[in-house]
Amino acid sequence: MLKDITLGQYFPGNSVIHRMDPRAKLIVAILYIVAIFCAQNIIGFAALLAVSFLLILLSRISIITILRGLKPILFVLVFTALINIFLTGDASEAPLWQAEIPIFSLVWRPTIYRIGVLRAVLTSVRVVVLIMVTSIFLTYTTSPITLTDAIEELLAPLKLLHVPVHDFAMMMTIALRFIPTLIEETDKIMNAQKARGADFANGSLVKRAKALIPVLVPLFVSAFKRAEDLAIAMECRCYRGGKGRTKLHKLQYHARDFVALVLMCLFLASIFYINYLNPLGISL
Amino acid sequence: MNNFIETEHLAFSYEEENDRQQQPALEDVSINVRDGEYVAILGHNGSGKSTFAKLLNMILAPDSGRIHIAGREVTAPDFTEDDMFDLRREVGMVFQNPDNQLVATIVEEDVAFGPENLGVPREELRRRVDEALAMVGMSEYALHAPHRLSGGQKQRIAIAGMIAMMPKCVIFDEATAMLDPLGRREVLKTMDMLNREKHIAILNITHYMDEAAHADRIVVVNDGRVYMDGTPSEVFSRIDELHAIGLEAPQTTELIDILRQKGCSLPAGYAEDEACVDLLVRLYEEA
Amino acid sequence: MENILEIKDVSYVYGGGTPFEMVALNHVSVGFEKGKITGVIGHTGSGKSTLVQLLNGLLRPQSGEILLNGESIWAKPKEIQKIRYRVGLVMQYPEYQLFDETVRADIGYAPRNMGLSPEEVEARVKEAAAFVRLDEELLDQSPFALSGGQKRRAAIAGIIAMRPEVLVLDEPAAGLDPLGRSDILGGLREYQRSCNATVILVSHSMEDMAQYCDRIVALNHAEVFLTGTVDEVFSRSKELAEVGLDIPHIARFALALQKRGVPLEGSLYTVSGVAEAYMRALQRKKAASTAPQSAGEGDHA
Repeated sequence: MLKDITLGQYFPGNSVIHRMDPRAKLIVAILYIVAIFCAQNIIGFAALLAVSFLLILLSRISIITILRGLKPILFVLVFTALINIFLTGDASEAPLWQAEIPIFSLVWRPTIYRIGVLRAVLTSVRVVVLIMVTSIFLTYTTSPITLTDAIEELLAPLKLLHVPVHDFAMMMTIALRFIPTLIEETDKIMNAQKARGADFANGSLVKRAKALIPVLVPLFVSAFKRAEDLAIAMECRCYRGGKGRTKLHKLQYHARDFVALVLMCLFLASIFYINYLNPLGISL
Repeated sequence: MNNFIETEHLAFSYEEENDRQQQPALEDVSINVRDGEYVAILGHNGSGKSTFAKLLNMILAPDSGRIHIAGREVTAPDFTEDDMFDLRREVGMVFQNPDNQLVATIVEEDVAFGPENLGVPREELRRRVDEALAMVGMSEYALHAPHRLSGGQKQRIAIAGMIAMMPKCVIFDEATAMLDPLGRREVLKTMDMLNREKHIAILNITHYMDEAAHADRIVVVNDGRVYMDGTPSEVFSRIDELHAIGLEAPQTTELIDILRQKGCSLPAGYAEDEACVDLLVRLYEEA
Repeated sequence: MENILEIKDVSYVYGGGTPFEMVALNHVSVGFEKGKITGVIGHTGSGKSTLVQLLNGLLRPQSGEILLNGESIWAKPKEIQKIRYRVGLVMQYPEYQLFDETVRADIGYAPRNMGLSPEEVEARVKEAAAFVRLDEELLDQSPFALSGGQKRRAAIAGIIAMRPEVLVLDEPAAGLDPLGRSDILGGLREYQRSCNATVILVSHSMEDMAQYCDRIVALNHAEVFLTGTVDEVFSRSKELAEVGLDIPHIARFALALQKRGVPLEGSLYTVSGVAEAYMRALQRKKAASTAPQSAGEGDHA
């Protein structure tokens, strides 16, 4: 069911990570992402995994919830892993496995190399860690609206260049507010059309795409109606852009935010150091 | 007492692309609302009552006629955007679909949205939000996500969002039409409380008779004109006229009407349950 | 009477095994009579919406079974679509399902999915539109150009066009004014009478239920609380009110009168019923006071 998607869902709580300033969280998350993409060898990846699990523990969000959040990307994960296994490798190396599959007059020789398997594993780890950590920092423990505030504040200097930062932030807030509503609505419309004989699960790709028209048209009609209603409601609540607005919550850095930033910088540095040392000699 | 809202001879037509319905939504409507008054505007779908609400909120401008709110003429040529901004804080608006008027992803942030736009300082914001949530009985939901609440709860959040702007009048545009009976009762109770305790003028636009019975005054709108205007018992005593335009009186009023036709000596137009019970008990005891 | 649709010991739990676990239906058994309008009442969260989605196979019961004409609807899970044509479901606010270019095409969507010939589809569209009293000239318009009430009727026609054996409607009159309500519900009553159709109606409006239904199923906390004819169920208004279920406004009023010592008897859930009961009570009292010696007889008359 569509309702089961947890990606992009905030879980209220009071853990250390919950209490961090969202700006700090954003910066820390970015540093971590840099670390993920810089890590090159097995020790580095082990460190990434270890830190991710530490973060999960700190956030006090159940591991099951986090794994469920990975479900939607399972396909991408398997797909990239297969590509890595079968299509990359170092021909100078002895293959781990090879087969010959005749296709008409040609012969396809799928070959698996050690490096391909390694890449598949490491890329998967990379994607998994990436999703886990960004969701821990940015969605599970940060309410979307504070995150938007954080982005707005971090991007504030761009206002000098006449970038409408506030408007973007507002648009993001509204999008976040309405995603659950629209998901629920999609579910409802799909059920209504199923009751009229729509079949979303069977048939050719073209047929299935066509079956979606009766869902998409009402969804768009309703989304436009909602947008219109909301615009009127906002106007009635005296909204006129960022001009002269105050905020209920002011973002404030605390000691823990600086500690987190320093720790993350150290972690990034150690990833570079591990890359440089490459202790086990296994790297991409 | 002063009139908070004054409207004179309002007329309005929607521009239709395919000139199918050129019938005007409002033909000639003059309705006044005094400071702190509780008025219900009653009419069936398409009677023009929602158009009236949109005119009051300056979402639409009338084709002709005049609107005064808080002593200011909205329809005057020198009425500016800033004036509109100033007036909108005085007139809150709660709409039909509870989902389409909540902006934020956290309840208290949504309640703060209006006063934030007004530039209310932070300490004051906090106080207003907490008070408004307490008033609608939703304090414990301050940190919840709106989409997980029931329809009635969402409407109460929307009302809290209005209270936090400290308006003098709140307009409910079919605000209970999409709610279940429990949600309707919650919202109705909140309306009553706002009026009786906070002396905020209420304009409840509805097609539910039992809701209209809560008001001090009922204005019945039909075909873009004012059809009746009076206290609930005045309006409900004219049951045949209500039936003529497809409206129903509350069941108790209908009951009294039938009993009168059967020869019981009862006064017409009673709407409140307790009063009706008293009346019928007395009649029975005297028999 | 014969039950066309029967629910046997059905349970349904949302989010089983998680902290959000919610029992929607708890070992519910209930039958729906053929050719009758049965109303399902209960407050929000009592399992009504789950029940309607179980009836046409949108949801599958976790235990128990649902019998349509004596056969389990899940006997052949691959053919559940056929069940959905036989048990037509009109969801809440069904105007959201309109999508096609014309009203005609939209009402014809389900019949086309059933694989009927274009002539048959056309015939059914006309028939269904007539049942919901939708003017034929509206059929060539875009569904989005219709008024609110017309959209609702077009959406209901889209289900009636399947000629379902059972028509299930979840709050078909929600949000409509009194005229719109009586249009839709009166239309359903006519449809039921003229086709001897079986209709299951979910509504929050007890006044409507009292007026339009033959039978009532009252759900409370995921279980069947009461079931029977409208008379049987609403004559137990006191019990319904005690568990917090809604009863018609006038029934609540009648209870208040009884409490204050006015001896009302008979069916006390419609305005005319209460009026008659009150007149009878008055006459009995008058008879008793004018002829005190025959008071006992007067009471039994």
